[in-house]
Amino acid sequence: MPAMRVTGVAASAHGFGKGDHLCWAYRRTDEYLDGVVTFLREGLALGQRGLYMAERPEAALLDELAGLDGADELIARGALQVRPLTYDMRSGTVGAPAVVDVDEQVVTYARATQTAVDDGFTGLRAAVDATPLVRTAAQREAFGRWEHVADRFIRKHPFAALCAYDVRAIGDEAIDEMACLHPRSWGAEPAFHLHASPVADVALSGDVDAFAIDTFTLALERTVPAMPGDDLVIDTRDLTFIDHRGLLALARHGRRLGVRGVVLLLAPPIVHCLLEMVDVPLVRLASR
Amino acid sequence: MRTGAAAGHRGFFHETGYYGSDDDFLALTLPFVEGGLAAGEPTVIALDERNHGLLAGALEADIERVTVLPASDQYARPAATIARFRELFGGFVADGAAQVRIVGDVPHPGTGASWEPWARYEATANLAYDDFPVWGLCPYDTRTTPADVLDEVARTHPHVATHGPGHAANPSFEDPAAFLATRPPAPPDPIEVAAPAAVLVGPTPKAARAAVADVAAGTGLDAERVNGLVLARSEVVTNAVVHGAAPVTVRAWPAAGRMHVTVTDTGPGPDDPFVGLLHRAGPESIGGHGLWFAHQLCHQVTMARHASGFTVRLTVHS
Repeated sequence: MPAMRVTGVAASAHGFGKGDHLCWAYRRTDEYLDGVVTFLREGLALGQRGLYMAERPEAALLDELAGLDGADELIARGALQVRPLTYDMRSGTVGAPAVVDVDEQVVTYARATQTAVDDGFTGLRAAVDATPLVRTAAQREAFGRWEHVADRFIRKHPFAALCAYDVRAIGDEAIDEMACLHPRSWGAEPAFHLHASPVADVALSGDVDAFAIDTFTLALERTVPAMPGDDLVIDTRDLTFIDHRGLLALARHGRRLGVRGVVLLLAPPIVHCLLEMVDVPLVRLASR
Repeated sequence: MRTGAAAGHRGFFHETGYYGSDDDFLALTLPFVEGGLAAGEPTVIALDERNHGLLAGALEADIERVTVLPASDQYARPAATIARFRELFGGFVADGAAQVRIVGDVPHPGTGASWEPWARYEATANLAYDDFPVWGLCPYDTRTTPADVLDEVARTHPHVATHGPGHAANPSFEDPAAFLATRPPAPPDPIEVAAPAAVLVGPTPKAARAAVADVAAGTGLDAERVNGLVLARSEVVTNAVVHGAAPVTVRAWPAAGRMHVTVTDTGPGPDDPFVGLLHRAGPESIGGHGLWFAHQLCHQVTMARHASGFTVRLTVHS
């Protein structure tokens, strides 16, 4: 059994490894900078190349990293890079589209991670203030899909990311929408987390209840679809609560994808209890 | 073709009958069962041990042709009773039955049970089985059944068996919804005189689930019971938040092998007098399920409208 990831609410930006994915929901500038600097500092200590992106000119970004010892020297030897958020890493120009293209993103970050390794680093660690990319529903739709694809990439590659979002700018609901697609979150407590799994198509942890159902439905749509005719396998070992609405949302999702079944791996007893009472099409249990 | 007193009737033919002796009991039930067997109708008996013995003795070898359900299982909780009977009736009808006959001993204080849930059951049964061609006979023993129960039995059965034996429309029958609306609210559980182990005012659903699980940890209840209670309570709180009025207050009382939880909001409670017992909404609909789930998952669910709002009481035991 591959090592399982720790999921849920994080107490700080400390202690993350080379392949971690953290949502950082901030309400104050000092909270924001503390997360970014801590996350980058520990990545540098692990030998990763640091990358800091936000919607400001490079000089302003460098100023914000004043808490990082020897930032100039790190920049000079390529251990640290700062880029305006709209900087396009492939073309080297500023002004990337505000609605991300998931395929472009994954190619870009895969290449940047490989380049970091080729340059002698142990991987890439990015701290990104993605707030300008999730202001509208259409932006969140695209960026949410990217968050999940990134999570799958992160699980298998030496790439770690802190995705910062300004709660004041986008509101609690949008924060939950983004935070639930990360295995860990700070400053936001989404009821559940939906994230990449080493043993299943996706892993679901936390609580899915009546009040989380809309966000859950959205989050499911943002995960990478299983192939029609296959089983969609969901690792539910860290699921602490789900009600019939959640199970029916899984069934609707499975039906939309045209999968053969939605298989819940290591489901908690509450799921057994519900399936005895409610007829939920497609959904079945596996206890491997 | 339906036979007997229910010939020509559509839906559920809900009949009571009274007896004061063993001979009376057999005079009431034996022709009912024999008539069903003679007509080739699926015939079900769900009687307590003593009555079962009497009827089995009189039926002799014919008992083999009867579907027997022990009353102690079949009448454990109204919600489960309805669910099982509906499944059973559905199976018989799918197999081509023109009528199903069922005679059952409904619990009451004379048999050691609280009447409150079974009064609701007897009224609700008129609707719960009305999509099946079922003739149901509920015999009550006048030697052991309290007078106030007999009064409510008369008000919840549209038909009554008379000695002779004959069958008549029951003039005391009341519209089930009207009957339930006029019943007094269910009394609190005696455990509520003590201070609750946990009180949460306006909790998040997650916090309330965690609190119930914490309090349950000391009761020795198994995980299945606790999960059922957590799920039931979650549904009831969801209902209170969505349909009721803030604040929602959750209280929990643990005891050895038992746990009692109340959920109170300041709203008027649901309009539907059959709420929780009739599963009227489709499973895909959002809402309308909470109390149905609670009834399926808990040993006892009572609801009370009072001056300061509406309270649902949930009890599970080992």
